[in-house]
Amino acid sequence: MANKSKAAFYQKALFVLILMLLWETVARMEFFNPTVFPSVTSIIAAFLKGVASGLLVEKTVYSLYLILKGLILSLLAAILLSSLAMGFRTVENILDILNSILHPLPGIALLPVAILWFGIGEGSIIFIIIHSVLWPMVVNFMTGFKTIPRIHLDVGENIGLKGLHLLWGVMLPASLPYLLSGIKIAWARAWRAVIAAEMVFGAASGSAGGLGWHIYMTRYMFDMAGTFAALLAIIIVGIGVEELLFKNIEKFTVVKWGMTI
Amino acid sequence: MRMKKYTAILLVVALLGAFVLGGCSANNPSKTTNKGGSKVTIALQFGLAYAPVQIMKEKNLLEKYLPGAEISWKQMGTGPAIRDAMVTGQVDVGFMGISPFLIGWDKGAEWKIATAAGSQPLGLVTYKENIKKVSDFSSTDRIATPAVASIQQMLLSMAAEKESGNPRALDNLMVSITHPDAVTSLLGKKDVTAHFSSPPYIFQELADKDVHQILNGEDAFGGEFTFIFGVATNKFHDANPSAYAAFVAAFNEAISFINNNPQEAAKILAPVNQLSEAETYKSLTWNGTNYCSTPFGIIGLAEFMKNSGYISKVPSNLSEIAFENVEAAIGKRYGEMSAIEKLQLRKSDINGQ
Amino acid sequence: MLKVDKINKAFTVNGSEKNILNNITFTIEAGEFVCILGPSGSGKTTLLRCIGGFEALTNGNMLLDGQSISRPGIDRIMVFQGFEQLFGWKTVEANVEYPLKINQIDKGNRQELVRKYLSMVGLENYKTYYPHQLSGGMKQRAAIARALALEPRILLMDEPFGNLDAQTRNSLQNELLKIWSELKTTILFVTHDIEEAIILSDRILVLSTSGEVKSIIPNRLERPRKPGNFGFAELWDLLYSQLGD
Repeated sequence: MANKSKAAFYQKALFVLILMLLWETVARMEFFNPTVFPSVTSIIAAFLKGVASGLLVEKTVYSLYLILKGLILSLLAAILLSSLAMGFRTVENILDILNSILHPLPGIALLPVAILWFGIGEGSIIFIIIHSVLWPMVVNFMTGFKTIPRIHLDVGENIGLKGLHLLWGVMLPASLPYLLSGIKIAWARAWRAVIAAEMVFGAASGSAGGLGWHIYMTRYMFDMAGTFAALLAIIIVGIGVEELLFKNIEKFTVVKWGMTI
Repeated sequence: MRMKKYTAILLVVALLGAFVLGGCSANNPSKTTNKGGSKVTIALQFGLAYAPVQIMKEKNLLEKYLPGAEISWKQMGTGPAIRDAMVTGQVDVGFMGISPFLIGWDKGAEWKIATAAGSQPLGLVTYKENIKKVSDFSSTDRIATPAVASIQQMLLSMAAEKESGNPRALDNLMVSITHPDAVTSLLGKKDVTAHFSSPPYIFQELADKDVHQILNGEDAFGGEFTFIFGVATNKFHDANPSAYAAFVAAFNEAISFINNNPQEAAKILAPVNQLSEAETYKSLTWNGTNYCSTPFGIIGLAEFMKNSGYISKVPSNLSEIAFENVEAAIGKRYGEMSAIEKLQLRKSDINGQ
Repeated sequence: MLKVDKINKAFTVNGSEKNILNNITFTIEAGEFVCILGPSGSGKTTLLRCIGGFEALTNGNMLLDGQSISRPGIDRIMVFQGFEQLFGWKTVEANVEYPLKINQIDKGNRQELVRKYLSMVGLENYKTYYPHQLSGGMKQRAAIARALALEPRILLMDEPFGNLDAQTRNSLQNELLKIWSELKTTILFVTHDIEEAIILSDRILVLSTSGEVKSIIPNRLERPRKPGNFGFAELWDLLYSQLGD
């Protein structure tokens, strides 16, 4: 088992290395204008400079802060709405039609509306995040709740669980695989939403601005190496969260319990 | 196992090869644009600041001076977008503000100013009754400008410097919002308290009884300055001099047309800008609108940009950032600056005034 | 102890009402092992679920120790058919302990009960295992331990050994009988297997396909019961003929 994953890791690393070498070669040969096709070395240099000065770190942390806020609010809303929908047919129907109407709307398209309702502070960006994230979460949670074996709920009622206790004691753990899948999707979408929103919307004045804002600025300043460095930061955070956070959560829950979807 | 690795490497090389070859043509002048006057690509943005370009397009003026040429027009959203297209050889002439041009020049982009599109009346408007000048703003106010390092932001900094000596005094109050969104926010009277606006948006705002203008661009700068420039790549200018000359001539004719026939120009421009003919005419003749192909204020703006840290150096000579026809228009007097050259500087720079 | 009086249960199927249970009346005494025997569709699971409180009656009422019963409660614990009744996210030990915890039984007593019943079903060496690591038979034993730990008035069992192979089923039947004789619990056991009914029960309630009590047959064969024993075959024939209609 260990050998297989080791071999896989080396293969992946080798591929990335080859890709980087090819990129560097193309950049050095100046097939493209070097100002728009920076070499790997200049990108890494820009990245290290950004980390050392704290700028890149600050921007990343700010974007993550916005995402966290949006995700937590969405999580609570999703659990609330899904639970209500499980109990009341009317709520389920309303949720269904809302989902059909709102889910296809890309978050960015709602930006002008967001500014109108929430002003120019971080409220608008949080709104965009929640909108991008809530519906897939609700869909996953609902599926999770609906696929709980009837027998689990019977046992729960039999031993004396009702209402909120049944939700906490049986429904949430039983649907955890779907909850986790929903959260993973939500995280990916939140990332996209926040970067896009910051790029279009700009930073609310006075605040640090996040990675999307940083990409906007480096682009404006014609600093392509800086733009790519920001993309590198996004990739690193994405991989980090996936490998360090999600994989471990899964390892200690659904994998241990034999409940992977 | 071996086979798989080799196939993988082969695939990657093949893919990248295809990618590179595809990109090759983009950077090869003979393939894309202007060899022998056959093809010219011009990029512009939306709005009446680009009126001369729009007239040139609608009246096919370039075709008149360059018969048999294939002219292609690209409508793009931002200066940086046009800049990227020009640097990769996809666009020959692009219209943009001073910031994207100078930042690109500073970073080594091989392009220069070919013409100016003119000055536009920029006005700082607010709905707050008690604000009469820039130093009246408090830390809770928010001023909307279209972008960071935009001319509007620089003008605000200049005004702040004039009134309080500190160009950064308003830095924390500035927010980047597009014009339409800024108008909605301002009229909603919520977070945005002021907006550095221009026609036609400013008409909408001034129609509200609470909104008044407290500053215009010229006062902030200390003189007239060009809002939009026509920038050409060195490649286009050097490889295709006849097309370049044709462009300059056609553009001048367009400007002349607007200045001498504003009513007719309004008729042509109204549908292009999605405005009524009356509104278009009003904007064309508004005080502060000046369609003129000679640029004003370049060096003054460049100096301010360097002091603000947007660029690392100021052009020591106009020829560094502009082609010969621009220099000719400005005129050079042996031993001293020409009258128009003096207009390139901010009033505060000339003789310490 | 359990009194079921003229109960009816109807379901609406495709717009029309179908009577699953028809006028069923019987009583169960404390300590009895009663089997409900019937062909598929005779409503035996429905009957058990009604007694458990998982389905509402259309008519009639039920009394446990003189009190009327209608909702689920810890006095009637059900062991379900199928392998998904254990909570997959808890170990065997935690599964048995959890119902005790939420019913406010203190830690010391809980741990004692868990230990007692896990060893009774022979799973004390598997208490840290997760359900997905157990065989089918082991899962059912764990479910039984969990049910017993609450020491209910009556144990309701819905074909708990139906999905197991013959050997496992046999050994579990013996285990169950051992536990029953030791604890003297009251058990109501649903099955479609005549042999199983004969091996386990004191009395057999036969349901007809129309959801009525066809007959109630006492089982006085000597324990332990094996198919070759005296009287086994006759009882088998009798029950078989009862199921015939």
